Amino acid sequence: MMRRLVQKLAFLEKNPRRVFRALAALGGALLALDALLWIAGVYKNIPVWHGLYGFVMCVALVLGAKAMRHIVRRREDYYAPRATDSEEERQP
Amino acid sequence: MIPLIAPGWLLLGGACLIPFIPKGAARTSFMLALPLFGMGLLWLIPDGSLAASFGGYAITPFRMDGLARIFCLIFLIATFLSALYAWHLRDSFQHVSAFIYAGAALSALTAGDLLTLFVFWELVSLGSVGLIWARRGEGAWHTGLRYLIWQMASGLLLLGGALFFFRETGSLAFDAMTLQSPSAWLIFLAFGIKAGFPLLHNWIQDAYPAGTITGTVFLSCFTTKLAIYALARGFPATEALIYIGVIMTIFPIFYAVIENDLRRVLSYSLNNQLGFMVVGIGIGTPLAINGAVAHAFCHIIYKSLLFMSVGAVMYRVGTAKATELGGLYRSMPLTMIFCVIAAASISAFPLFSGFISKSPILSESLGGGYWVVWFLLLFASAGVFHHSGIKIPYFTFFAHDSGRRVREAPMHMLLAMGIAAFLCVAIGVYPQALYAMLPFPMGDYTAYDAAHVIGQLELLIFSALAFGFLMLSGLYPPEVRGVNLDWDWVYRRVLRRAFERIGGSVLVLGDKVWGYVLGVWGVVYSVLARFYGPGGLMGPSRAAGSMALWTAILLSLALLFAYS
Repeated sequence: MMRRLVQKLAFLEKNPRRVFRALAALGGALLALDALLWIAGVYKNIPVWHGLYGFVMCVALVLGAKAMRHIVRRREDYYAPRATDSEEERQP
Repeated sequence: MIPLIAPGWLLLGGACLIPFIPKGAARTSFMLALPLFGMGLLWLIPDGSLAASFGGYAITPFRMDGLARIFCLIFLIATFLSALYAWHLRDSFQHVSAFIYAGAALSALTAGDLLTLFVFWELVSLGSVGLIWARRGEGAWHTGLRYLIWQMASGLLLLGGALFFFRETGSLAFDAMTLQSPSAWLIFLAFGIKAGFPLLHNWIQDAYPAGTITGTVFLSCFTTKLAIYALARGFPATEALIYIGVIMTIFPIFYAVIENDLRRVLSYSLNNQLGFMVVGIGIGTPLAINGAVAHAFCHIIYKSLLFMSVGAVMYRVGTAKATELGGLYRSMPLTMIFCVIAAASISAFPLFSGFISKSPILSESLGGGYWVVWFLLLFASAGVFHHSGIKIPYFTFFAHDSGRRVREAPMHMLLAMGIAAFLCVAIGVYPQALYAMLPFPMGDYTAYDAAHVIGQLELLIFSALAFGFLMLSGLYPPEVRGVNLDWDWVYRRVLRRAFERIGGSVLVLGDKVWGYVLGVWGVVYSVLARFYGPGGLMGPSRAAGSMALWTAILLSLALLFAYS
């Protein structure tokens, strides 16, 4: 069973665009369901709000962090020898 | 009736016995039996308290109620799982440290007064630092010292607050208080250090990645959640906590995105999760407090599972740096599955534990009219999914193939991870079991309504799409080796340099002063030597030997005259 799982994951690893398209399809279906439930009056959520907000904020988060890294990143041994960052990590 | 042995005291007593039990199966079985026996005791102990007197002060060394009980239960479960995960370990220092730590944390949960709380609060610090020092090496030593300074500062604030509190009220009882007196502020700050409040948080990201593989699993369970318990007990419905908590949820996710050390990513993520709990406590409604407590319960399980899975990788591969990992799903598929379950739980996917515990907090923030808070918590939720839900499993087990082919994690680690993963799913599927144990009734609350489920799924799927979009477009920042400066840079680098310079100046000044002193002494000495030295006007001109000879001759003459 594990071997089959590994084979399937290896296939997905080689085809990342397929994974992305599948996710996009799932996202689209969720948006449609969200809108339908809103139209049907099942709840009063603002339709598609969560999806759009999640997407925009995640992109903003990553780009913001990427910009921040230019300011905050230093060499791994910056705090050495008073830190473990650049020490050998292998432990029993 | 209160039994003579509380679960925490049992673990502390057990910690004293551990060194006398032969290493190996006997000792590990003993360590596994302790939390199981503690759970049995917890089952038998009714609600109530034990009053006593210490040095003329009325104290309550033991108190059990709904809030303490659920935290005790999860602490005991965490102790069991962590001990099982550490089955292979043959290090007495770590064994004793871990059980002193767990026992002290449990004892602090059942402390009914501030003095007892202080004693176990400090013991928590002393026990836990051993799990950092046990890594050995100069870096771990210094990191442990920094960790200890923060923890001791927290303890001193608590002691100062307790003493002021006693002077103000004549009581040491640890119950709900308000931020209207200096004593309450001191206690609040003491709790804030251990809870990872903004600017007081760096000890978490500094110390947890420096712990041993098994030690960090223990560390992730107790200290910060003890602080959450203390805040829930001492400062429910304190509005400041809402805003503090929101900041805690936001800033760590930026660091988590760019951090290379995966255990530090998890430490930032831990800080973010604490923020959700702090917000819940700050809102303070029964449902929000329940949400915070439930979130602490679930968080201990899925966070320790995340640390276990990254630790298992570290155990096999020898590193937890994202730049060195990737493609490990081929070698460690079971560890990967457990990691993904933990990732789904922390991301609050429906049917996983995080979903049923985070929902009440989000609902109450919206219901309480805290719109901005709700918006920011949603952002933080998307961020959690991004760095813990995707980044940790992706960079460890997928991404580029590092080419490393290792063995699957040892059986005992898999077993511990398997139990934790089962709990993550079981709580998510059947939350009523957890809800029934919470300190307040949950009424007809359900996390599984259409609005919650669809909204959360949308948020997560589109966050995943954002990740995919950024990866495919090459905009995602690649993992690179390095450290990222956080607030601790101020005291680890700036203040340190300043002190070194001030210290250096003092040393230079000291050298000059000492030089003058020596110069003056040289002049004085030469004058004295001129008069009293050998051949000097006032001094002996003979060597010591001849002086001894003359003394002997004079004494002989004196004796001769005396007895003649």
